[in-house]
This record gives sequence, C-alpha cells and structure tokens, in this order.
Amino acid sequence: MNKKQEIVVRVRIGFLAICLVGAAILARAFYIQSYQGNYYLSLADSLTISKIKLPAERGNIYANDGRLLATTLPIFDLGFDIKASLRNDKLFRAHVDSLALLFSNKFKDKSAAEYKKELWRLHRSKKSYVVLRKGIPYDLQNEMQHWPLLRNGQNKSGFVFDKHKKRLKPFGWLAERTIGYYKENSKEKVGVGLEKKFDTILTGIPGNTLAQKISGGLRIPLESPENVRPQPGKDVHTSIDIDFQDVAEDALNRALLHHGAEHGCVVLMECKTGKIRVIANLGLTKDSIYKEIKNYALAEAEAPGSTFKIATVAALLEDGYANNQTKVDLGNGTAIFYGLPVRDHDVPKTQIIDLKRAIEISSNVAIAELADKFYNTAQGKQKLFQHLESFGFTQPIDIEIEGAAKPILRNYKKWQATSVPFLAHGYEMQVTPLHILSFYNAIANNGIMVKPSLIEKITAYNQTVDSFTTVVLNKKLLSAKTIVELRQMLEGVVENGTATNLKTDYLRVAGKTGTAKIAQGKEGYKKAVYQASFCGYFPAENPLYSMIVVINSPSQNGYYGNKVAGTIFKEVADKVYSKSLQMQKPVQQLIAQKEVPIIKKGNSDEIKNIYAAWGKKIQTSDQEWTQVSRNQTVLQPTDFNVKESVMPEVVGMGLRDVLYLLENMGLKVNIVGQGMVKSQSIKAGEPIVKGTQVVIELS
Amino acid sequence: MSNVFKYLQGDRLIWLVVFLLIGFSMLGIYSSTSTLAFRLQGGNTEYYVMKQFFYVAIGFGLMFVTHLVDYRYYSRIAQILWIASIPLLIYTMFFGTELNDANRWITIPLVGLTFQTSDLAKLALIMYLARQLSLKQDNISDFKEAFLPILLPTLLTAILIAPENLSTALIIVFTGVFVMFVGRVSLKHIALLAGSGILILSLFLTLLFVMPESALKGRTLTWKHRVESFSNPTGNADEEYQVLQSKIAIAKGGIVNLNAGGSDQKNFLPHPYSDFIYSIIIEEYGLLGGGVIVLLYLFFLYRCVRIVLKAPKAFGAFLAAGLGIALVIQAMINMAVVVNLVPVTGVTLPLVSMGGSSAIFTSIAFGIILSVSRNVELQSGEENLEMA
Repeated sequence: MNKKQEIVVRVRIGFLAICLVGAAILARAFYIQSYQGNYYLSLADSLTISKIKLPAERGNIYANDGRLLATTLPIFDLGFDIKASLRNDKLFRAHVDSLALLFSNKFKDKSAAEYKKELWRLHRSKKSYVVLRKGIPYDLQNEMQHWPLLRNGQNKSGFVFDKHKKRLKPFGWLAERTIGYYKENSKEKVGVGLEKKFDTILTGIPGNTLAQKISGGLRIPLESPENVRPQPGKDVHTSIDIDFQDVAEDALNRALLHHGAEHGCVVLMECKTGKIRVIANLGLTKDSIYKEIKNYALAEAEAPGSTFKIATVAALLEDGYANNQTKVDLGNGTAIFYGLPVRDHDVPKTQIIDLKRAIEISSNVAIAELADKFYNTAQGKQKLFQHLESFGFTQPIDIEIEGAAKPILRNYKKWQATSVPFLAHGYEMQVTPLHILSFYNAIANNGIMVKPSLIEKITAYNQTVDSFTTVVLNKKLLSAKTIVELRQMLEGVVENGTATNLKTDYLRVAGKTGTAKIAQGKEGYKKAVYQASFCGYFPAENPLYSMIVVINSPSQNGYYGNKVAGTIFKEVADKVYSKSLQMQKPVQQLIAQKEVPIIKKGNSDEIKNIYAAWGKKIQTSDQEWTQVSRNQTVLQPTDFNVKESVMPEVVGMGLRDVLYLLENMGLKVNIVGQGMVKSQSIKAGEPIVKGTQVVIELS
Repeated sequence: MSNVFKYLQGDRLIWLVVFLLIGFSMLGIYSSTSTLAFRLQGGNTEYYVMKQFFYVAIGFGLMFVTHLVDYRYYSRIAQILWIASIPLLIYTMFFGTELNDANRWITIPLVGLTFQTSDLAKLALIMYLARQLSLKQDNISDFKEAFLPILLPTLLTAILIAPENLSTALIIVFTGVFVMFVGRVSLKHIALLAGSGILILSLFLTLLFVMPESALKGRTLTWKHRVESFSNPTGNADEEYQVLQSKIAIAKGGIVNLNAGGSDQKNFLPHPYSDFIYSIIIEEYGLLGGGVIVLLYLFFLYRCVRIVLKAPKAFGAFLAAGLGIALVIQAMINMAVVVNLVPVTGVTLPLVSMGGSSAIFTSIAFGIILSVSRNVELQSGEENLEMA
C-alpha cells in the first residue's frame, strides 16, 4: 500500500466515523421525539404554564377625616443566591468592592471593608441562599437595582430582590394598638384591634390567572376563561380623629415619663353618638419607652376609686334618698364600718357639709356613710346592684374590637357588710376606663346611654356598604332631675373642688377626679400603688365630648387624679376646643365686645370689604391705595397717593401689597424678616430708577 | 448561476453548502433573537440579523479572497500564523476581554472588533499540522523525527487555551489527533497518546471531585458542575436547565414541521441564537430540517474527501482534510450537545450560529478548502496525481 492509498483509506475511515456520529445525533433526536416526546411535551407545559394566585389588595383603615391609618405598600428583601454567584465567580470578583462601598455608604452600619468581608464569606460559604437585608422600601429598591451585581439579576450575580407587601401605619404609634395587626401563617392566625376584627372585610377575595414562565424568571399572564380577578378588600373608616389622637398620645407619653408611670390611657368620646375620637394606650416596655402595647382602656379592669362615687350618688338621687343639699357628717375624716376604716384624704375643715360639697372635695366618708345608711340591707343591696347593672358595670363593653375585659362586680347576694360602703367609693370591684366613660357620657348626654363605637362606615370603591349608626343602649338611664344635680356636682368639682386646675375662662369642664389605691398582684394593697384618673365632659353647659384619662402607678411627681390625669385631660380638651367651631363664640359676639382693629394699609377695595364684614362702613375715594387711622372712635380713611417713579411710603403695609406695588414700579425688592413693613431702604418721596434694589424690613 | 460560478471557483457544491448553511443561519437567528431584540434593542427585531449579515458579508469577502490564493502559499502562512498565535493566546489569558465570565476574547485595536483568539489559534494549528504532516511524510513513523514535531504544537496550543476554555482545548487535541490519523501518523503512537490522554483526564477529574469547592479557582467549578450534570442524567427536573429546554424544543419539533419563527423554546433557552441554535432549527423545521443540517455537513466532508483523493500534493490533501474535519467535528459536537449526547461545551455551529468571530474564521477555513479544490480542478486535466 503506497502513501496515497493509505491516506485515502484513513480519510475514508475518518469520514465513516463522522458519518456514524451524524447518524447517532439524528437517532438521538428521533429517540427524544418518539420515546420521550410525550414526557418532554408535558414537561414543557408544566414548567411554563401554571396557575398563579393573585392576592387581593387589602383594604385601608382611615381616620374620620379620610387620612390613612393603615395601608399596604410594596417592600423588598435583598436575597443572595450563592450558587448563582459561584457560577459567575469572575463577575463577583470584579464588582464586590464597589458593591461593598455602596452598601456602606447607603446603610452606614458597617464599613466597606466589613461589607466586603461579609460578601466574600457568603460567596464562599456552603449555604445556597441568604437574605442580606430586609424591608427595603420601594424608593431605595429603585435606586439599588442599578448598583453593580444587583443590576445583573439572580441568574447572573445571584442578587435578587424579593418583593412582598407590608402593612404600614403612616401615623406610627397613633392608636397603634386599636388599629392593631393581623398575621396569618401556616401555623396560626394572630392579631389584635381593627385589623383582626375586620380582617375578613379588609382581606378581599384573591383571584387567579394562568401564567407562562419565560426566560429571566418572568411570568406573563395568559388570557383564559378560568381566570378570576381578585376583589380588593373593603375600607374601614374609623371614628378616630388623628389630630386629637396625636395630642392625646403625646400628652399621655409626656405625663407617663414625668410621673414614671407604668401605663395609661386616654379615651375621647362624642357625647351624642358614642363615636370614639381618641383612644390612646401607652405602656412601659422593656426598653424603658412607652408604646402602644395593650388596649388598657378596653382590656384592663381596675378598682376605679373616686370616679365611681358618681355612680353611687346617681343611685341615691334616683331612689330619692338624697339630693344636692343632703347634709353629711364627716366626723374627723375617718369612719369605721364593721371594723374597717374609711378615711378621707384630709381632716375636714367643716364637719357637716352638703352632698354637692362632699363630691367636690371627694369625701370617701360621706359617700360610704350614705350608701351604708340606705343600701346595706338585703333589699338595699339588690337595689344598688340593679342600678350598677343598668349603668353597665356588670357586662364587658360591647365595641367593634375584641379584648374587652369582663368587669368584676360580685352579685349582691355575696356582698358582705363592708361591701356597700367600699363599693360606694369605688373599691371591691373592678371596671375598665371605658365603663366609667360610658356612664359619664350618659350623664353628659342627658341620660341617654349610647354604645361606644370606633367605626363610622365600611366602604368599597368609595361607596358606603355599611354604616355604623349610633346604637342607643338606654333611652333614659337617669331622670332629668338626677342629671341636673349630678352635673352641678361635676361642675363644682372643677369650679371649686379637687380639679380647680382645669378651670379656664374659655372652656368650662365638668368631671371627677379619682386617685385609687390599687392592688398589685400578690402583694395586694401592701405597696402604695395608685391609679390616677379624671373622667368628665365639656363644654359643661352643652356637652359635646366626654373623656377619661387613667394613669397607672405613677411613681414620682405626685399621684393625684387632678394633677396627673387632669393635666392631660385639659391639654386634649384645649385642642378639641380650638378645633371645634361649635364650642366657640360667634364672631359677632366678639365684635360687639371689642374694638375694630386698624387694618394694614393696602388696596382700597379690600379694606372696604374687610370693614364691611365687621359692620363698619368707611368711605374711600377711588384711589387704588388707602390708609386707615383712628380718630378717637371714628375710623378715618386717608388716600395714599402713589406717583410713578416716586418712592411711596410703604411702612405699615403687608408684604403682598408691597411686592405688587414696588415690583410693578420696576424695583427689585429684597425682603428681610416677616410681618408688617417696618422700614424701607429708599425714603418716601425720593425718585426711583427702574431696576434699583430696595430693602424692605418686616417685623 | 453559471455566471456566479465564473467568479466563485473551486467545488461548486461546497459553495452551495455554504449558501444553504447561511440561509438556515439567518432563519434561525432571526427567530431566536426576537426576545433579545425586545429586551435590548427596543423591539428592533432586524438588528441582530443585520449585524450577523454584516459579519457574513465580511466572511464571504474573506472566503472569496482566500479561495483565490494559491493554496501552496498557505504552507508558509500557516507557519507564521501558528507562531503568531502563541503570544496572542498568552496575551488573551492575561489581558483578554471578559465575556460570559471567560477571558476568551481580545479586542483588535483601532477596529474595535472583539474576536476569540482560540478561533484563530485553531485555524492556524490545523493549517500548521497540514504543513508538518506533509513535510514529515517520508519518515512519518519516526517518533522523534515526525511524531513529536507534529504533536507538540498541538499540545502547546491546547494548553494555552485550556485554562479559559477547556472544552475547546480538548476538541483541538481531538481534532489534531484525527488529522494526524489521516496524515498517516503511526497508530502505535496515536494509541500511546490516547492512553496517556485518558490517564491525565481521569487524574484531573479525580482531582476536581476530591478537592473542596472552595479551593477551586476560576472556571474549574463550572467544569465540575457541567460534568456533574451530565453524569447524572436522571431524566427529570434535575437535568440541567438548558439541556432540558433543548430536549423540549426537539420534542416540539416533531419529524416534519414548517414553523419558521414559531419556536416557543427560544424564550427559555439561554443562548438560542448561538450554542443552541440547532434545537431551534429542529423545533421550527422538524427532525427533517435537523437532518438536512447534518447531511449538509457530511456532504461537505465528503467533498473534502474527494479533494484529498484528487489533490496532487500531500499538503493540499491534508489542508482540505484537516480543515474539513475540524469544521465538521465542531459541528457534530455542537449538535451532539443539543441532543445531549455529550456535556454542554459551548462550541458554535459553524456558519450557522450567531457570532462575528466564529463566522469570520469559519469563512476563512472554507476559503482555504476551496482554494485547494480550485487548484485541484485547474491541475486535474494537466497532471497525473503524484505524491510528494
């Protein structure tokens, strides 16, 4: 065999071998098609088309003016797929430095070197996936997705943003506990407040759609008759007034800090409707700060102390056993009932006083004596119990959220001899702040007891689907005569009783202080632990709101109801007063009282209009500008001439007019300060050149 | 047609194969780049086809020029080109442009084109092998005089490519040995080489799986993953994603199909326009269409064999055989990957896959083969076959 032949033989062998490979490829393709075809075809659909759930948008919770209390926003977690990062080792090496620097600059919690070390550690670790950072808001995610590595996506760099939804409370801690939360996982469903109670309404109905997966991990929805669109949850509109809530929560927090208290609450209720405008609850946490951790107003029953005396007196008045003028003997300030002493806070200045005064000075002895005298018989006990039952002190408060505490008030059959005098001034029993408030609200509301309510309405697509109208629990809880007398007593408490610190000349408040010694767990009454409270309503003459403030265990700076709780009451009442036109005197009355002020000099027509509103007619010429002065009691308008190219006297004008006037004349106005024009850098009467700068000082 | 072939000399059937492959290439690329075009080019679906057409045009120009050059010049050119390729490979290893996480590319200064140096090195090596084989024909069985001078350049080129592109290096060695076989290299020596090759490879694989993952540098981890995923073909979702998607494409294609641009799998395959274009072709044109591609390459190889039979000089025969074998082996490996006969390697389908570098060097290879065939035709009437 010569060389040529050998080459030809070998080339042919090679060609044949490659032909066999070609045949093998086609055979393999044929095998995939025919024997495994169905399998792969079925796999294609199952891999690419699936039904995905479309969660419904959760409804919002609103304050009574439509501001958002709770809403849902998208939020991102940054994850790191380490397997993917390893596959693209080069990419990671190239950009890890700059990414570490960006992390460090943005989050400022670690140095770039530390971040780099951490990223390297993860990159080399045996883990497959870690979450690097949680809770990245939408804006930041938008920025971060352009960062090196992060922009390459999960398949390339391993970095991936996991989007989910977060429930957000725009007003932070304001009414946080009442708004509540709701979480659902495979194991359990937990929640409190409105989020829990109204969860089924807020959740909506999830839908689903067929979706096809395409490269890059994206899914595109497919049209299908089986697709179900999700129905968004309905919105819950609460009765909470966020401005009042803000003031209350802030005042409560300051008071708790000031007094080193354990916890406290403030509830503000609209008298006529029972709508709760404020429900603030703050408790001391382990971190020594106060947070909305429990709904004390609703869930904590305690001995109410003196605020409860009004209930006893109401019973006495209703049964005709006493009236405002009923005389009571305080003795030396201590009375012994069946071996147990009841003490007043102070030794009385006057031994015999009437019942009104006894309430004003909050005498324990007086109330205990009267109750003991009229109710400490078998029949009397039953009568008193029935009163207290009708006042609502035996049942948990019925309100839209869960967690209302059951009050402790034993049945009268189990009462001992000491029970009546002690019950009478707020011991041997436990009720929640809302119980007391609800009762006081009935007094303020002319004897009509309404159901407290946190909800105004439920809406869907801005259409009301359910309104929560006022529910009257008792049309006539107390007689008109009783109401009048009780109101006199409550007004007296502020006028010249234990709460004179709440007296103002613009807003009359009525209410009752309470400083109860409360049992502290196992230690009972051994340790002096107090609960300071104030419950009342305002304006006293025509009540619009009732409110209760309770501070538990103040440890410093006093513990009396008037000081500790009363101060908060006043602060919130002032805020409510300042915002409620109903409570304020009409302008006409103010005008009658006061002199009409002098208005800044300015546009003639505007000045005329303003004085007209005050009921004063003034005569101005047809000049554009006018100045008004007072001659004795007569208002004297004088023209105020403005000539072209001559600097006018602008002292005494408002800024708006000055700018209009001077800039029209071609001056450049430089302003310093605020208020009325005090001085001008170019004197009046001087000629002016267009484009000159003039400095106007305001004060 | 005959007018065209006045200018296009050499084997007309090879030219035909070239045109048909480019035709398939354009169809496949137009279809499979649609997703990419929407993502990166704002929906300009012609962008990638036009870009590839531009490369093909350049390639065609080069093919035309190279096929007019007398093939005997390529002996010297091969020597220069191969020597030049060595520093280029070293340069690429250290300063190459990173694409898909491997330093396989360098950018030509001024022009700004990137090309894969291994494409150049492979072409240069095969040409150089043809030269060496033709020069050593007289004492081809001598280990020192013939085998080593033929083998060592192959190993050198392969070793320089291996760190960044192991599969290409292995393919180059395999192709080189194949060409040596055709070039009458002693079977004993080839067996020896194959034996030691298998030994080294198994040693390397052992090392890859014994060493902890954290100690593996560069692309070694990728190699491990690829070998792992191929050696565990469990036939379920465990299979590597792209292989699975490729099989689905093949399954969807059926035996006979005509569904140009209708591929679903182009949306799921990571690089449907380059490494996996063959699965898109099967999906859109059925197994029959896929068969045409295989047959076109085999037919092209058959025409190369014919050149060997007719070639008057050993160098021409080895040049045509070597380049033809190299191109067809590359094609076969690409298609074998697609049907999952061999692990994923990342070689392109010559003249069909998208890519400028590959298109240009493939065109040059075709041009050189055509140059040999042109010379063979010119001389066939004049001289009798005579071996050097």
